[in-house]
Formats: sequence, structure tokens, C-alpha cells
Amino acid sequence: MSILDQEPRTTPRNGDRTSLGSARRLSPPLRDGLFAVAALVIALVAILPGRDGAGTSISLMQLVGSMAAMIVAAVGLNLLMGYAKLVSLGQGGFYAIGAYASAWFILDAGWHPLLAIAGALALCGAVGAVVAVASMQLRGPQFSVITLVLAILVERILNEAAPFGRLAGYPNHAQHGTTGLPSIQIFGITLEPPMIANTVATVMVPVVVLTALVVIISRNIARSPWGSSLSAIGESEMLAAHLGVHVFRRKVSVFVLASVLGGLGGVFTTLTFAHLQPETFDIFLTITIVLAVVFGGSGTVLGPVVGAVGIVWLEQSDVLAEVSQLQQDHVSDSWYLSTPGLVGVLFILTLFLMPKGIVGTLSAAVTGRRRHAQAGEDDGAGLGETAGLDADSDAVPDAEPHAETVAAGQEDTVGKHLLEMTGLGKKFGGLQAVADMDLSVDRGQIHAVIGPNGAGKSTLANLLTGVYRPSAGTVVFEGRDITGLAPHAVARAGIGRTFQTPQLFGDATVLENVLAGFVDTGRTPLWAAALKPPSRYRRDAEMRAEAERLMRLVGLEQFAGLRAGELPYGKQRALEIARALAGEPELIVLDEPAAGLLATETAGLGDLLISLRAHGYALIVVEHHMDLVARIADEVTCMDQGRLLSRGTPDQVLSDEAVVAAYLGKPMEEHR
Amino acid sequence: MDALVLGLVLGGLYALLAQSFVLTFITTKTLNFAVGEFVALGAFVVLAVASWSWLPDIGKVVVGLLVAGLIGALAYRFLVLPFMTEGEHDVRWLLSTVALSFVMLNLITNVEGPSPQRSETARLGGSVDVLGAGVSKQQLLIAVLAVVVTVLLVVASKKTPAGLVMRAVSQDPETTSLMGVSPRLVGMVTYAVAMGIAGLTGTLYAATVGASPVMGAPLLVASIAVAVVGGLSSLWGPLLGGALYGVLSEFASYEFGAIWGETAGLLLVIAVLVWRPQGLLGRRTEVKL
Amino acid sequence: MNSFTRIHKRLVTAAVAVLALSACGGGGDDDASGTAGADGVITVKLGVVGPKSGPASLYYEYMDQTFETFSDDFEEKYDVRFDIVSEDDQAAPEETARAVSRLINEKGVHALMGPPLSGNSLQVADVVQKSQLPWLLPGPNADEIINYDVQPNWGFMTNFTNQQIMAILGERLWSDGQKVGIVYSADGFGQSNLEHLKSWAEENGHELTAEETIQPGASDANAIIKRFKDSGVDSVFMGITQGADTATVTRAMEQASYQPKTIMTTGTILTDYQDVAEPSQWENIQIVDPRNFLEGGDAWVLDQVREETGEEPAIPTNNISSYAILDIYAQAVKEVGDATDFEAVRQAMEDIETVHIGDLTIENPFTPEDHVLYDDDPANWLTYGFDKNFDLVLKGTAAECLEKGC
Repeated sequence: MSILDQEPRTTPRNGDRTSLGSARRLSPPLRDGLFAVAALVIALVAILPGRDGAGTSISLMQLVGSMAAMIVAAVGLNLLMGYAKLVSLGQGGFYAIGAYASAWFILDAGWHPLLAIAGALALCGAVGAVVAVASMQLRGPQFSVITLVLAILVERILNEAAPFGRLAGYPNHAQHGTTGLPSIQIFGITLEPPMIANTVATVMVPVVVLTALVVIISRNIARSPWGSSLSAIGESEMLAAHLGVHVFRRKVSVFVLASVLGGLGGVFTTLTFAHLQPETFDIFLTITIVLAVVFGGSGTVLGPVVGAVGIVWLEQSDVLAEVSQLQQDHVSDSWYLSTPGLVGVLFILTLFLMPKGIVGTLSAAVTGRRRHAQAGEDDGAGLGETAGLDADSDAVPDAEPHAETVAAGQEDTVGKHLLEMTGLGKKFGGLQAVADMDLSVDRGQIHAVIGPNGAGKSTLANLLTGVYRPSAGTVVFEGRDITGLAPHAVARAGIGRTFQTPQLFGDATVLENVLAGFVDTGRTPLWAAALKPPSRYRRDAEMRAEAERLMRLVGLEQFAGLRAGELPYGKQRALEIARALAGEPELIVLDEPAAGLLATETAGLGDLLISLRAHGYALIVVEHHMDLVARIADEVTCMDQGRLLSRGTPDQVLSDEAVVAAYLGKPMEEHR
Repeated sequence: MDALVLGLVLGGLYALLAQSFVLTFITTKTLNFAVGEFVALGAFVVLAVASWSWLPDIGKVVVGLLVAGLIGALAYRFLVLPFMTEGEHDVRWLLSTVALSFVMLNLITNVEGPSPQRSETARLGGSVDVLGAGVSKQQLLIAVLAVVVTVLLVVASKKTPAGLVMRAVSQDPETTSLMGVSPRLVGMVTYAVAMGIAGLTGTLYAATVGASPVMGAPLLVASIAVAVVGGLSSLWGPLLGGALYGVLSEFASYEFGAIWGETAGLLLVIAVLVWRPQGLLGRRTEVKL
Repeated sequence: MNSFTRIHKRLVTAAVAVLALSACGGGGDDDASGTAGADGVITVKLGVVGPKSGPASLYYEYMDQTFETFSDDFEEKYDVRFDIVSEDDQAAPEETARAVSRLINEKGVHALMGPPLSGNSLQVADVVQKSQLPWLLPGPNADEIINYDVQPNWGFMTNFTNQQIMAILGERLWSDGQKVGIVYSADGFGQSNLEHLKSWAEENGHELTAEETIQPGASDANAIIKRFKDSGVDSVFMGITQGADTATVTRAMEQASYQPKTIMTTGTILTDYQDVAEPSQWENIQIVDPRNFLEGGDAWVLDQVREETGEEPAIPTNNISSYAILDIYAQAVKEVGDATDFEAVRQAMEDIETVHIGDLTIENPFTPEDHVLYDDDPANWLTYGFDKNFDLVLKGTAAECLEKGC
């Protein structure tokens, strides 16, 4: 049965909370701890061969150094590209800035190495912030082009700027009397690069440990609400804003984070090779980092790690050279592909066969099997559970006034409406889409907005949630003037929303979608997401429990592990509502929620909305479905051509001649 | 004054190649990052048929154009189309065209060797005086061709049924396909024309600098820049973008030195992207929520 | 823009196990022990690093050609056989670093040859010096690669250095009160040229009127020529790595009807220039080089290469310099008798008495502070012009040209 089925369920399905519990054999802190330990162990094992400084291990240590640098740069780019879907072709530029800035601060400026590195990373972050602000409006190819231009500019500067040695390299004999950066000393320990036989390459230890830390932190971030906000931005910035995410700030933050990580990669390269040549930091570097991310699996945690290691290894493995030789021997000695061409072919094959990259494809295969086992029948629990519940049932969360607005508006709200819209108007160029609209709604009230197509209903909804700025009029919510506020501010004030077509994260699970609705998505600070203090774990558990409640409410708990994109339409609708509820709104704006639903589903929807009303929510429902409107609405507003046409109870409005005329047109005679 | 003329002429080269970007972007919303290699491909094909003395020069150029176009169409069918399926956020086509550029560059280098080879086909030697500046005839030819090709494309898009189809597909591929037009076919034809233009550019450019596998690479960034400045959704864009980019670079080079010339061009791109992301002649599209 | 021309540098350092040379020779035991085998031939394990594939492959090819053509000769003359262990660094500096590490530490080579490009050599200069094994550098021109403050010094260059050529050219460029402009490529070679020209000018009380840089692969050089013209430059030096870029410059000159009285460049013009330029563009160009490409030992090397490989010498100047360095090294190994005694070999190289290039001899080229085969005596440098067919025409020594004009 669809979730919005009318039929009441007689027995609650207890045993079906499968996907929620089964995979959780280990508690989150334990799993996170295990991951951290594993990362550190792998890091240290990688440099084990070099522990006695044997000459034969030097080249391997250099390789590990290159891989570490590529890993952190790819992890940074992955946050930008894989999650927020901003394809930056400029990561190589930050890599270069990090490398040269740290070297210069150490040698020319004579700073303490830790300060030099911090300074270099800060510089990268600052440049990243500038680029982010400059490119805020851009997406797609334009965004890629501007980042590409940045990388090219950085390369040019390095080629030409005398303080960095230009093509004589840094350091160089003329300016510094040496071509090798002196080994740095931190807390009395000299950190040697892997260069000369019988010198232990002590710099490798901090390099790999830092790399492991970066991977651990990136995993924390990816799995936190901060990370979901990135996915939200990647999916649709407008959606993200409605989830309470301050898109501008978040985009700048992720860009800065990505640039800092790119710069860290450059720092590692400086520490490993102790000499920089501008030729190393060309466009191909930035492309290699992109390849590493996509090859390994963009949008996954381990993807960039696998991809970086793979690409760097490919760079210097014999396998491709041998394939090339084979072609020359057997096919033709001029029509053959050598390594760059083979990498290209390999890449295209990956795109065809493993579009999600290595890690993405593997994990999809694994979880796919798990989910199929749990999906069960497509007759999910019905909404009927709530239909049978009464007003003080615990199943539905109460609509509680938000703490901030309580203090601010407590006295004012007495006697006033929860939401009061006065004289609202919106002009698009010459078109007056909405004019002089008034509307008010109280807690525990359902206000329906109807009208023929093009009447301005959706525009009204958009004006309310901040998608458009009103040209005239005011909107007061809980005594606070929210006119013209951006969508994230409106969401944080306590107004939730569903859209005409369900805006979900198709690739994420149902559970993940609901979790995205929580205020944490917009509110979690980066440091908390990265470092995961105990409060974060507690909050995660709370959110999970609450999400499960909400899924039960809308009858989706059986599908918690399914991809949201695979849900039938009615369930997607339900999911959207659950997500909206997660944000603890007091008012929910629903834009044509019944569109595309079956009759039984519509009835179930009606039941749910009535339940919500009973629990104190205020609902504004833009609808075409007159039966539903008649059934649930306390007040109905009819719009026509952007203006108020009629208002009153459903009976009044639906029998109003003017309303009928607006929908059906006037009889022929009256037109003359 | 010299800078103006020479800048316009230089911009013409980039504009011609930029047109291939714009064309594919208008109909398919994709860009082919292997364009530089198609430039080289055109040049080498013409070089290969250069010894066919029964074929007049113009015929050889056409052969180069056709081969580049054919391979371009195939590239679209097999390397771009399968990777555009996930909507606005799908960037796989970008990566597959980058991979294609690796493969093509590598193959061409292995077959032909890295050194530039002389190309006599369609070569106009010597220079001509334009408003006091000595302009190479070859470069002038390329610049003139940029204008001619643009005009042809604009006329074709407005007056011919094919052009109508192209505009329809660019606005709404789904509806167009419901009306019996295969967007796939349209895409292939567009790529064929676009890569044909790239091949043509390569042929004419090779007559000046020689055919080498890496000849297209220096043009790539400048052409993308010109396309973006002009506006990826406008067929007139490359001309305006090329003119601005070329003149600005040339002026800056004259005043401050070659390094600044290039930098000036890049700064222009940044300025346009920040101030007017859709390009100077591009149209901003709003997505309905 | 050089960005894409080096697009594939970063990929693959194919560790091809052994670059099989010419006949590995009769004789039973030819393991690369570094000492004389049963047949009295010392097999040396020579590590060679360079861009074996990719757009810069010409810079590896000349080394290949030298081995192919002359290994038998060296075996005959000095009883020294080269067992080549090569690494492809795709011209990427960090790859060079790794490749050199492998060659020195894992493959245990007795000497290192290459990399051929200045930038890559600068990346590994420190390491090779600290690793203390003979470093053979027939390719690069940048003085900065060898740091004479470090003694004993392990690097030996058989190409002229940029400081030297500027000393030779300086007089010529500024003669008759001409105003001098330089166009240099935006890479290590070009910038080194610039630095040394400026130093020479400063030391000799001259001033450089114009400095213009050209990006590898640039589409045109009109602005450069315009600026030369506007500042009154009538004596031009082109310090450009790729012949194709030199062609871009000379084409712009012709287009702008700019005819400076003096146009000088280096031997780099012998590669990749002719095909894409016109006789009218090269008729006034002259180059200086310490080698004689037309007759004598240097020319013999080039002829041998043509004969044996059937190809044109990839980079004529460097083909000759590779021969020279191998001659020096082989002599040193023969004298010491043991290629693994690095110190002794190095000393023998430094003390070498006669370098044989075909039947050309150069006496006592090195001192502890000078590991460069050539010097900057104008009497030892030759000036060439070009005829219609781009064949070299000898104009006289640099000294003669200074006196009488060329």
C-alpha cells in the first residue's frame, strides 16, 4: 500500500524496521575510531620501508610523498567537486601557491617552519575566498573556466616572478646559494627529505600522519550535516537555502577548505623534494587532480584516496609502457598509444564501466545488494496509523515556537496571526505577477490558496519562502518582519516548504534525505563537523531517532535504506513532507502536494495534514484539488491574475460565481 | 593603431575556433576539450593528402574538414552523448573529452613525430598592408573566414530548416524529440560542423606555423576564453569576444610586454565572468522552481 | 602557452629495463661490474634519464642516436662498453627526481647522463652532487646547474654555457653602438640567456634596450617586434629553445618589414626551424658555436649519425656534445680501470688531457673550478650564416667577425 493510503492499519509493523538497525552492529564512535586507527596504521605502514634510510627506499619514499600530496589535494577537490558539484579546474593553482609560499616563507622570510606552513595555507585560503566570492554566481562551464584561468595565472606568475626564482627553480644558486631547501627543524627534530642514501627521511612521518588526519577529518565532514549541506548545494542551491543553509557562506567555506587542502598538497611536495621548478605546476597537474577524484569516485570518502594513489602509481609504472611496447611490436610501429594515450583510454573505460569511479562503483554494488535484501514488498505502512491517532498522540511532533522568536515576539503574537502577509506584490519586468495580496494564517490552521493556472499561486509561495523579493508589501511571521529575507533565513525562522515536484536527493537514501531536513544542515559549524566531539555523536543519535519517528509518521520507515530516486511518486511526496517536518517548522508551505497522487494517496495526504493541524502546525496549501481543499481547509483564498479574488470558508469560496468564472470562463453571451 | 588591426586579426584566429565551442554548447550544452587536437588532426589530414596532385588545394582543405567532422560526430556519439544523461550536473562529458584529447595527442605524436612539418596547402605567403600595419595574408584569411563562418552560421540558423531544428533542440531537447527530431542526430551534425571548423582552422594555421601535434594546445585556452567572453549561447559572441580579447592582448603586449598581453586576456575573462557570467552577448536563463 | 605543450610530462616514467644497445658484443662475461671482464672490456652501467616519449622526445633522441652510432667505436678505442639503464621522466622535474633516485640507489649505476633540459637538471643538481657519482651533462646550457662552491664537483658539461655565449656575443651585439634587444623563450634556457646577457652588459658598461619573452607555442610575435622597432633596437639576440618559436619571431620580423643590422641566435635554430620558415626570413641570421659543423671532427660525428641511423641528428649541437662526454668518461674509466671507483673516475675526468671528437682534439679542458668543455675565447668560436637551402655557411671565427665584421 502506498503511504498515503486511506485504509487503517491494524497492526503496526514492528519487525520491519530492518534497514535502520541491522547494519549498525558497531556504534558510531567505535566505527569512527576504527577508521581512524586503520588510516593511521596504513599511513605508517607505507613509510615502513624507509625507516632505516636505505638507498633503495628513497625512490619509494618520494613516491609516497607524491601520493600523500595528491591525496590531500584530491580530498579537497572532492569536497568541491564531488559533493557541492562545483567542478574546479584550479586546484593545481592552490597546490602551487602552497608549495611556493611555504618554501619562500621558510627560506627567504626565515620563518619558523610551522609558521611558514600555516602562513602558506592561510594564503591559499585567502585566495580561495576571493575566487569563491568572485565566482559565486557561476556554475557549470563558466565556473570551471574561471578556476582554470586562476590556475593559468598562478603558473604565469611563478614563471615570471623573480622572488620565486622563475625557471631557475626555487631555491636556486644565484639567489640562495643552494638548490636544495634546507631541512626544517621542528621542536629540535630535523625533518629530512628522502634524498640521500643512509639518511632517514624523517619528514615522511608528519607527512603521512597529516595525510591520514586529513582523510579522517574529511570523512567526518562528509558524513556530517555540514557535508549534507554541500550535497544540497550540489543538487540545487535553492533547495539548500530552503533547508536553512546560508549558501553564500557555505560555498565560500568549502572553497576555502578545498584551497587549503590543495595548498597542503603543495606543502608536502616542497617537503618531499626540497626543490621546486615551475614546470611541475602546469595545467596538467590540475587535470591530474581532477582525474584522481573522478577515477577514484567523486562524492565518496575514499574515492580521492584510491584515485590519487592510482594515478600517481600509473605515472611511473611499467605496465603501460609494456602495453605500449606490445602495440609497437604487434600492431604497428607508428600507430600505437603510449602511456598518456593509454591513460586516456583507461579513463574513458572507467567512465563507461565504472561511472562512479572505483570506490563509488564498488560501494554501490555492495549496498545495492544489501538494500535489495531489505526492500521487501512495496506496500509500505500506511498513513493510516496517524489517521487513527488522536490529537495528543506522540507520533506527531508538536509544532513548537522557535526559541528565538518566542522571546522576541511573545507579547506581540497575542491576538495577532502567526503569519501575516499584507499588500504583497511582485513585478517581473513589466509583468505584475502578484499584486496587493493579503493573507494570514494561525497555528493549527490550514489555509488553502487556489486559482487557475497563472494566477500567481506559486509566485506567492515563492515570495513567502524568500525565493523572490517582494516589490511591495510586508510579511510578518511571529511578530517578526521577514519581508525579503533570503530563503535560508526564512527557513530558520520556522517556515518549511515542499515543492511542486519533489526536490529530493535522488542518490541518497530516504533516511539521509530526512536527516538533511534538520536544522543542523545549516547550523552545524565546520569545526564540530570535522572534529566530531561527543556532543556531535549525541546529536547524531537524536537526529536519527527523530528521523525514524518522522519516517514512521509518513509510513516510510521500511524504506529508510532505499535510494530516494527509486521511490514511487506518492512516497517521494511523503518523504518531502517528512524532511520539512524535520526542520521543526511552525508553518509549512505546500506547493500542490496532491499533484500526481492517486485518490487513495490524496486521502491519506489529507489525513496527514489534518493531523499536523491538530498538532499545532500552520499550513498554507497551494492546491488545485478541490475535494482536498474542501475537506481540509479552514480558510480558502482564491487568486486570479495575481490578485485576491475571493476569500472565505471552502463552501463560500467554492460556490462563489466569480471563482467559478475564473476557472471555467464566463458564458459566451457575457463576453460581448 | 597597429595594435588594433593586429589584435583584431589575432582575435580572428581565436574566434574561428571559439565558434566551434559555441556551436556545440548552443545545441548540446557541452564543450569539446579535445578541440586543440582536432585542429592538429585537420592539419595532418591535409598534409597526408597534400601529395594528391589531382586534388586542388580547396579540395584538400575540404577533405581535412570532412575527416575532422566525421571523427567529431563519432566523438559526440560515443564519448559525449553517453555522458550527458544526468542533467545539469553531469560533468562526465568534460572528462571524457579531456581523455579524448590525451588519446588523440598521443596518437598523433606517435604517428607524426613531435616536430612541426611544413604545410603548403592553402598557404598565402607574404603580408599585406592594412591601415599601416603589416598583416600576414594567412592570418588575415583566417580572420576573414571567422567572420564568414559566423555569418553563415547565423544565416543558417535563422533561415534554414536545419537551423530551426538546431534552435529548437537548444531550447528544449525533450519536446523537440517528441516532435520527431532526434536530438542525437542534431548533436552529431553539430559536432561534425564544429569539429570541421576546428579542422579548417588547423589547416590554415598549419600553413603558417607548420603542422605539429601540439599546435592546437596554445589556442585552446584563448579560444575558450573568447567563447566565454562573447557568451556561450550566442553565435555572434566569438566575433565580439575575439575582437576584445585580441585587441586587449595586443595593446597590453605593446605597452607592457608579451607577458602582460596574455595576462590581460585572462583578466578580461575573469572580469566578464564576474560581472556578466553569461557573456557579453549571452542570454541569462532562469530556471523555474 | 607552454601549459599544454608539456601536457604529458607528468605521466609515466617507464622504467624500461635495459635499453638494448648495439651488439652487446661477443665476449662471455659482460655483466656491468665496472671492471674489466675476461675480454678486457669494462662494462659500465650508465644511467640515462630524459624525456623518452612526449613532445620533448627529441631531447632524448640525440642521446639514443649517439649510443646507436658510436658504442662500437668506444669499445674499440677504450675497451669500454656501455650498459644503458634508462628512465623516462617525461620532462617533469619531480619525475626526474624519482628517476634519478632509482637509477642511483636501486639500479646502482656507475654514472648518470642527463637530464637534457635545464629545468630538470636544476631539480636534481643537489641530489646528484650529494650522491657523489659522475654526472655527465651533454645537453643543458645553464651555468647554474654546477655549483663550484661544492668541491669536489661531480658534474661535467660538454655544451657551452650561457655565460660563455654571452661573452662571445656581447661584443658582437653591441658593436658599432647598436641598440640591443633580446627575445627569450619562457623557459629555463631562455631565462638563463637573459640573465647572463644582462650580467655581461652590466659588467661591460652596456645596457639592454629591450627584453621580450615569448611563450612556447605562441601564435604571433608582432608585439615583440613592434616594441623592438619602437625602442630603436637594431641588434637582436634570440635565445629561444624551440626552432618553431624562432620561426614565429622571424616571421613577425618579415611581416613588419623589420630588418635589424644584426640578428644572432644559438644552435637551437638548427632543429625544427627550417621547415616552418622562409629563406627570406633567415638570410641575415647568424649563429655562434664553438663547434665546426662543416668539417673536422664535429662534422664527422654528425655524418656518422646520419649514416648509421639513417636519420638526421636530432639536435646537432647536442649530438656532438654527447659524443664528447662519452669520450671523456670512457677515457677516464679506462685509465682508472674500475668504473665503481667514483672518486678516481671523477678525478680522471677532471684531469683529462685530450678530448677526441673524431679527429678534433681539445686539450685540458677542465679545472676544479671549470667543468665546461668549451671556453669563451672568441678565437675558438665560429660564426655561421645560412644560405638559401638553410645550409650553414662559415663566416669566420667570432674573433674575426669582431675585427672585420661578418
